[in-house]
Amino acid sequence: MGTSSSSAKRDFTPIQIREVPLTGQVGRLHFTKALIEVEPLGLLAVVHYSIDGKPQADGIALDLDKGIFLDACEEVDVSKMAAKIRLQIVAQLPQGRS
Amino acid sequence: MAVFYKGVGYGRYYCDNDARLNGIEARAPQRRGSGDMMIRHIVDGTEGSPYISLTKSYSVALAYARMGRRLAAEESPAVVYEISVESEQSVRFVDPVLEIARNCAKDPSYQHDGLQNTLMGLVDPAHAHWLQFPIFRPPPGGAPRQGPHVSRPLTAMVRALRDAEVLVVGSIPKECIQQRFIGWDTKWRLDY
Repeated sequence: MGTSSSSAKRDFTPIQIREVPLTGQVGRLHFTKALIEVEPLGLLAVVHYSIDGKPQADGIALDLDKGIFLDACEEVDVSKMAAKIRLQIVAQLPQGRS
Repeated sequence: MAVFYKGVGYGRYYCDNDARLNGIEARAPQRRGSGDMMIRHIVDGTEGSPYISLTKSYSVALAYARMGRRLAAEESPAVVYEISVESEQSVRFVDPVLEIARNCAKDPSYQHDGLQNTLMGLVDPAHAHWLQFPIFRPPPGGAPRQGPHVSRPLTAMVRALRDAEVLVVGSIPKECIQQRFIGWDTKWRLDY
């Protein structure tokens, strides 16, 4: 009742993730990509980076509402880059026009 | 009995450290809470905050849990805690919407002056362009202005409603942590 078969099916579909390429660096750290849920759209992104050209397994989560990183990066202070990275991500979202 | 959830992403403290053993503490549990502090917690972040965010919605908790230091996956699972509180337990809950609204009742200037779409910009970062959209002002001399005025209390109330958010002041004792779920994507199970 009121629930179409397509929406019921979608409930059990794995979350859709979009990979968003990033540019920018702080010292030895280069931002490489962000992962974000797009269906439904997530409010957090996992931002990945490389150090001295070596991709790091762990990233840092970015809160797209607040424009802040939720995690610290042990190697380099990246907190001042949060707003710029947020803008790059939002501009590449499905409805992103800001 | 009230039941709430807290999502914790892979690599975060309460993912690596089971909160069923010692409970959950705010980033700054010794600080006094206040209306401004509550707004800062919701709008700016939890640094130096005496509050802990919980949600009434398991789905919201999952959404926050999935994005940690890595995207939650089989080799990097995330955690969701189920927290329930008996009325006699000494946990200080705050409904941020009610608290902030109570303060706003004295002064309606918390309302925005933009289009109806303004709230969409607050709810969804992909619609943030509505927060920059030109707004009209009455003549004479009312040239359009870039972006509506959106107050911090309004921002906090809208985002708290969106996330079905409830705050706890200080700490949550381990006795209140009822379950720990572990998983990724849509694959979740009870962690025994």
